Amino acid sequence: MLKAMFSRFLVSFRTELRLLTLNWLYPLLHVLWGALFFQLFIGKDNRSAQALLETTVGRLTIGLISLIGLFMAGVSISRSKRFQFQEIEETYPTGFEVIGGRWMAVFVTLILFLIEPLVIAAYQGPLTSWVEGVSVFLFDAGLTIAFVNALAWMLLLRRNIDRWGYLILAAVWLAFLLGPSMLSSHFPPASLLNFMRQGVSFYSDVWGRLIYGTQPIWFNLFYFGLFLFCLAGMMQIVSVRRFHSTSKIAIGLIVIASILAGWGGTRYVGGFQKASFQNRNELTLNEPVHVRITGYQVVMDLANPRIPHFHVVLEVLNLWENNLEQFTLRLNPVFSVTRSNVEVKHDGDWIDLHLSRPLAPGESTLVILEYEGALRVENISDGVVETTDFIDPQGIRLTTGVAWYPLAVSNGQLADHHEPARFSLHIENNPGLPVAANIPAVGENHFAAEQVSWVFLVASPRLVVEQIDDVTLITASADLQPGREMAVDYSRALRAIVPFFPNANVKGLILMVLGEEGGLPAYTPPAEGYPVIVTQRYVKTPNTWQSFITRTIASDLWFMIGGRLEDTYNRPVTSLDQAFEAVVGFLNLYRTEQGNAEKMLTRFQNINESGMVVNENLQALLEIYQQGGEPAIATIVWEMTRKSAELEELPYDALPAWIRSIGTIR
Amino acid sequence: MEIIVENLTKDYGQFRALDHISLHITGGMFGLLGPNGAGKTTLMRILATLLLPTSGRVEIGGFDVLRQGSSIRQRLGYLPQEFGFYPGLKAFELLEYIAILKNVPPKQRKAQVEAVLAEVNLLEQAQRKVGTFSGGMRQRLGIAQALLGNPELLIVDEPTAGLDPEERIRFRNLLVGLSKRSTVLLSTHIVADVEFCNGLAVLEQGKVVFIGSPSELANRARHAVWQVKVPMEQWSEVERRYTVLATQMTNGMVQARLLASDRPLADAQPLSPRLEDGYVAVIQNHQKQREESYA
Repeated sequence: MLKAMFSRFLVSFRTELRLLTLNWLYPLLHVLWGALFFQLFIGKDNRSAQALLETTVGRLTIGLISLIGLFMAGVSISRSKRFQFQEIEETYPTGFEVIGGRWMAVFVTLILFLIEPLVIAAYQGPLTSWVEGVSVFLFDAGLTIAFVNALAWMLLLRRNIDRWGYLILAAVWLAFLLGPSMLSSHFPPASLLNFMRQGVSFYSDVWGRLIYGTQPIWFNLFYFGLFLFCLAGMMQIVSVRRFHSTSKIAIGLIVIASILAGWGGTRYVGGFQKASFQNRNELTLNEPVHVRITGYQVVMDLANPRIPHFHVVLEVLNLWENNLEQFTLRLNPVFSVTRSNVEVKHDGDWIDLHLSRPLAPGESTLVILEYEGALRVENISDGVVETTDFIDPQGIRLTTGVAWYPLAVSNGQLADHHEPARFSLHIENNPGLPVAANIPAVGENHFAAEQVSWVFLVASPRLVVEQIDDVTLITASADLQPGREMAVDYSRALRAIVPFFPNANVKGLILMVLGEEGGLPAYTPPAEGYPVIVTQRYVKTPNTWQSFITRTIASDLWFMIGGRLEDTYNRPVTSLDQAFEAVVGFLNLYRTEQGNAEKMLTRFQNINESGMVVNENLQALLEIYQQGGEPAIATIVWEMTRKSAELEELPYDALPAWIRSIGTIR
Repeated sequence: MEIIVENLTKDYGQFRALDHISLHITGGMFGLLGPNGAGKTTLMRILATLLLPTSGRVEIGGFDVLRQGSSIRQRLGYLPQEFGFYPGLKAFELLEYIAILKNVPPKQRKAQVEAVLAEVNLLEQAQRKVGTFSGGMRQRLGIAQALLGNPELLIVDEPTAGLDPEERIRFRNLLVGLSKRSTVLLSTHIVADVEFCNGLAVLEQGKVVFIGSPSELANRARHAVWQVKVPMEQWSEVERRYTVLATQMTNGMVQARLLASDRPLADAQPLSPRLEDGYVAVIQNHQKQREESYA
């Protein structure tokens, strides 16, 4: 009986597959499909193969196949009725296996649409990234296709399709495409309804799916449950229609499916609740902070990577005019202090330290703290729960903002950065993870620098650290090739720009080419001697890319020679900001024309003739450069950084004269 | 294969399509005759396990149609009034596909497909796409699919509708041949189609108004069929008063075959009744009874 049933399943599958694929529309659809991907992605998206499959290409594929799947299922379901074969077919001694076979044929037909995106991704490479990405992509896409296909079959089996049925299917698709995105700002768990996975990317080139924790598993379990539910629903409809009875197998499957979907959905939504709860933590301190930490010696022991142990020695300076007996530092609440040389009281995000003897004004002392805990900080971003900071056997991502080391935080401020301090970080018992930081490595698993105001520590089996000339490249293995090209660009630019900042004492440059998942740090001040650039590899035109390089290097060098630049958001632009912009503009021209003053001036004039507002500040710099060369500009830059306060007060129209006056002084 | 129908009723909402029908079919070729809308197709669809009765009992070969539909389907060949096939498949492929669905054993499959194609005279067209078939060929292919699996019961609903006379005769002969090995249940509103049935039932407005053999049906019009010849100007009066079964014009005179319980005109000649006359008599009688009961 089972053998006969299998034969019927197979023949239904084969016949339906043939009817679907041998229709002239099907190859035409493949040609259009391939052309669409070629047009949209080849040469326009330089993500790695796996990143393509997990993000842009993958999302477009799954989204569009969902729509095609609804229609194709409709075509298949209505075939018997359209050709008036249904009445005959229903008198055959068959059961669910015929519908099952036809469902499977539609599934396979749709799965074949994954070939084009896979080819596009393979073309992009690298091969290792493609190989790693294929199985996950096939699983995700396969699950979505299976669900959509089963849903359409179940709905249309229940009610025979008419022409308007296709419109309803399209409306359902559109509702599920737009609805979750519209709802996600008010109700982020709505992303669970996004069966097409639009806007939901569970991937990072550096950490894979690690930063999304178990959310992708619950998401997939939810849809696996729904898929089973629809399949069981189909079975039940066929059973009632054909045998006038309830199918015990279908009922059993419905129960299992409901449990799976309920479990997956609850856990997925629970992930949001947990992340929301974390974000409600009180992170401000309303008391003045009287200390500054001038030195850090941090040892992170990963003998148990799930619960790392920290041994920290802090050099604490009393900034107050009185004797200091007690002060407060910020430390992530997940850590529990196990040992200290002072009395410690941990209250939420804060630790109160009581010194055994009062610290005189201007005096320093050493504070030793040992603490441990499992750190995993989650955030809700674009409708998904994303882990921004974590320590895990499979990887590490730590930013200063989560206070994984004690911070002396100013009144009412959140600390993404702290006062520059000497910093030494040593990682012990590293379970073999390649590790890197925004401060230079001074040995294996050891990073140290002066004037460190933030620490960004990353570790992952996929992480690659490579020295290219004076650039330390930190990137994912899949992004290595474009990362190298970027490092070469940065190296060239650094050499060209450094002569204008002779006091910066540049020792090299740290270039972190990472995905934007988890959020790229917005402000990345340099460590002593090392400009730090954190960027992603994607989508920049050559011109904007070169401008970006100039600006990022110039801002760090500006900072390294003592200049200051504040975020211009929500405050008026000052002449200091305009002075910096003029320097960046000059450096761009300098790099473009390789320092040829005549050509730089000509290009500048060409730009002016094209109708743009004449940048008199830049014009002044160019004139001075023509007369005095690099040293003249270096002097002006140096003076700009030294006289920041003066420049901030200077009227805009006085700035060109100010620049000329500095140039003339020389 | 024995078919027992007891007190069968089928309602579509407020409309009663079948009204307490009872039939007992023992085998051979059985015809269901009735005007359009009489309930023939509804009855056929219930027997073919496509529809559930509202009440009553239907048993086919000892299997209850409600509870043992699968067992009935295993023994059933069905050809509905309106049907079609996937036009992209060749006749042989289509029948092979259906043979698998009908559980024809793999070893017999090819031979059986060829046999039914030969039986309906389509063997030479086996490799032609079904979409290119004419109406008659398509009808024969319909019978071929119904014959697959050697069904004990063959249900054919209005199989000759739309066929040309030659095709109709060929088709009728084919069914007669098939009735020697299976029970053939034939539904039609064309009286000539049931001439060769062993038994037949006439349905009118959801009720069985006659059960018997074709000759018994014809006998229902015995002593009631007359031939008259009237001038043209008197014809309208005759037509108004009597049921006209057939007419013919000759030299300004109308020669007609009438149904009347008494001699309609003095020169009217009695005729021996045909099957069609019996059918009309039965239907008229039923309508008359209904009108009387309303009155």
